[in-house]
Amino acid sequence: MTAAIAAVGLGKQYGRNWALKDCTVEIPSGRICGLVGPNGAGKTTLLNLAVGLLAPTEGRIRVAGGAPAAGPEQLGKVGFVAQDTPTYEGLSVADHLRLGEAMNPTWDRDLASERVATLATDLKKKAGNLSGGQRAQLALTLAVAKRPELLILDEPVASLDPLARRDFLRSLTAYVAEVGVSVVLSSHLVADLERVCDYVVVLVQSRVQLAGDVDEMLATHRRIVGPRRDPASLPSEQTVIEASHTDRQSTMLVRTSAPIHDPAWQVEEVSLEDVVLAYMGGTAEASTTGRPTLEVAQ
Amino acid sequence: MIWVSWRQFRSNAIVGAAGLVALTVVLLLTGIHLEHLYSTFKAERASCTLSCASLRQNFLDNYRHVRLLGSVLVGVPAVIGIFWGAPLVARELETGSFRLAWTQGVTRRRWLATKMALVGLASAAAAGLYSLAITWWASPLDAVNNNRIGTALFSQRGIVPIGYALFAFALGVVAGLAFKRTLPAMATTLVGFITARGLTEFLLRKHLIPAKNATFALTSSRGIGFNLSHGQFSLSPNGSSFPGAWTTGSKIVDASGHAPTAAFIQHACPDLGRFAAPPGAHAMPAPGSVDRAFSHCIQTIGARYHEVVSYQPASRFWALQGMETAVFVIVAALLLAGCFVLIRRQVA
Repeated sequence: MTAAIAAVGLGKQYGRNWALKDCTVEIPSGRICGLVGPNGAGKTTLLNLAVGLLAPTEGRIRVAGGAPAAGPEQLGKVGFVAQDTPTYEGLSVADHLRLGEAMNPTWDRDLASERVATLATDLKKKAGNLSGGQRAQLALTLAVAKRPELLILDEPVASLDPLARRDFLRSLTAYVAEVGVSVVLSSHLVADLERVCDYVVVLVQSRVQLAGDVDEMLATHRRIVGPRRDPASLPSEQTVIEASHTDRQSTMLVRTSAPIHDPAWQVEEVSLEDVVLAYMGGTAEASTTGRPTLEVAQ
Repeated sequence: MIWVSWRQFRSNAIVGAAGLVALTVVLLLTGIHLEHLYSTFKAERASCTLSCASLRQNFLDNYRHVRLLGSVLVGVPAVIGIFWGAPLVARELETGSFRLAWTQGVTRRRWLATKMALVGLASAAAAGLYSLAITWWASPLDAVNNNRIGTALFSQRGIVPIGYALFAFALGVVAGLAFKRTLPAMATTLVGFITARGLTEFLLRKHLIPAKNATFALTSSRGIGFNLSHGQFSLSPNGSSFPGAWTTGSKIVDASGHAPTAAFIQHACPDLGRFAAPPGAHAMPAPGSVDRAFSHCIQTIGARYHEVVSYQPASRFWALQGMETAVFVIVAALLLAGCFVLIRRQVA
């Protein structure tokens, strides 16, 4: 199966600054993949490269089996909701639907009108007068009604209030469940991703720190708390991702394939956020301690 | 895609169309009356004996204010370039809506081509219709004045406004793509358009077709001027050629192309210094003696020198219009082609 997004040595330079440098990543298709990382990690650059709004300075990227924005066919395969969900503020909701229909040969009119009906707004209302949540929903409608193979969303909920955020993600998951499309969704808020994603890629300074199936990630990571101990003394199948110590006590987040039987440890399950933050926070010392920072769990 | 381009251009198109309709109404109502006045004037001119000049002047004084609409036409291409051309892509880049537009199922190239074609055609049509209306309205006045070529009227008549409009539109689009901001693009369009028009008006136009030359003998009936500067005399040519023609240059030369020297003029006209002396320095010469001295002087110079006038005859009006329009349309096409290169490299 072709990857949703496959990049090799991808880089994008603005003047002297690299927004993305030497990025190699593969996001499988058929998944709802969360792309997470701190601000400035290169998430937006990577996604803009994937939809062809940007041209790479170096490296290669294939999206849904083709070169980004290579032609009408490729454009039709990829639906995109850009950051801040841009729309034409002078055009009405109905105009946007007509625009989508005029610009997409694969347009699904029923799906579009069905989705817009749930917006609970006047079709004649100008996009500039919609609330942030409604505008995001309108942008999502344009992206899904073209029936793409791959849906790419760049921080779609970043500027929304919690309620609108929940509604947006809910309607996204409902759509995905219905049509079975690949999704790549970026966010710097892990909690949002936890709700919808079954695959996560953590990007820090253009590097993939962690990529894998969410369930597997949760199954193989544990937090252990016990008397103070040197992380190096742990069994070899346990890899320490993050450790903190007080005078008497050690808390560590470890990756392990086997159950932890040592009675000295109190073993806790972890949330996706714990895992992601551990990998994100670990990067600063990663090179000095030689601790593994990259895991590809399939 | 045509519908999308139209929807985005619609409000602009309505403003433009409303302006053209208002213009047409004014020009039609006054133009029909002007036609009527013209036929009356022609009948009176056929039988006039003494007051022919004032008859002509009275006719030309009609609708002085409506005539200003012709001058307004000079600014129409600039307005098109600024308000239709510059925002065409720049506004999308500025507001971020290009990220919506360029990720639909239409390639960027087709998106741009469709928008360009629609708004470009509208620009040409608006300027063309305006010019057509003015050209028709002013045709009686132009026929009497016989000055369409070689004056500012040249750029307010015929087909050149279409070329100007397309050029200004293209300049606006390309500036918008280069700057990615509407306001700087608008300013660049205005400055660029004025520069291009100025260069054409004052430098290029007279060379579009090589000028004709005519030779005139120097006689006392064809006046020439004498200039005194730093105690030296030089001659200034008469400069007139043929009715309705545009004189682009004139000079007084001998058979081998040399201008008369100050020494020669002094020799041919020894009395010149006396006439040019400040009043009161000498007793004024008798009037008849001045005339005699001048005709003798011109005769002496004319024996060796003649005046060569370069000109564009009135009959070349449409040829020059065609050439100038072609120049502007070609430059516009090159600018629009450049947009396709720019948009491919365009970054978010």
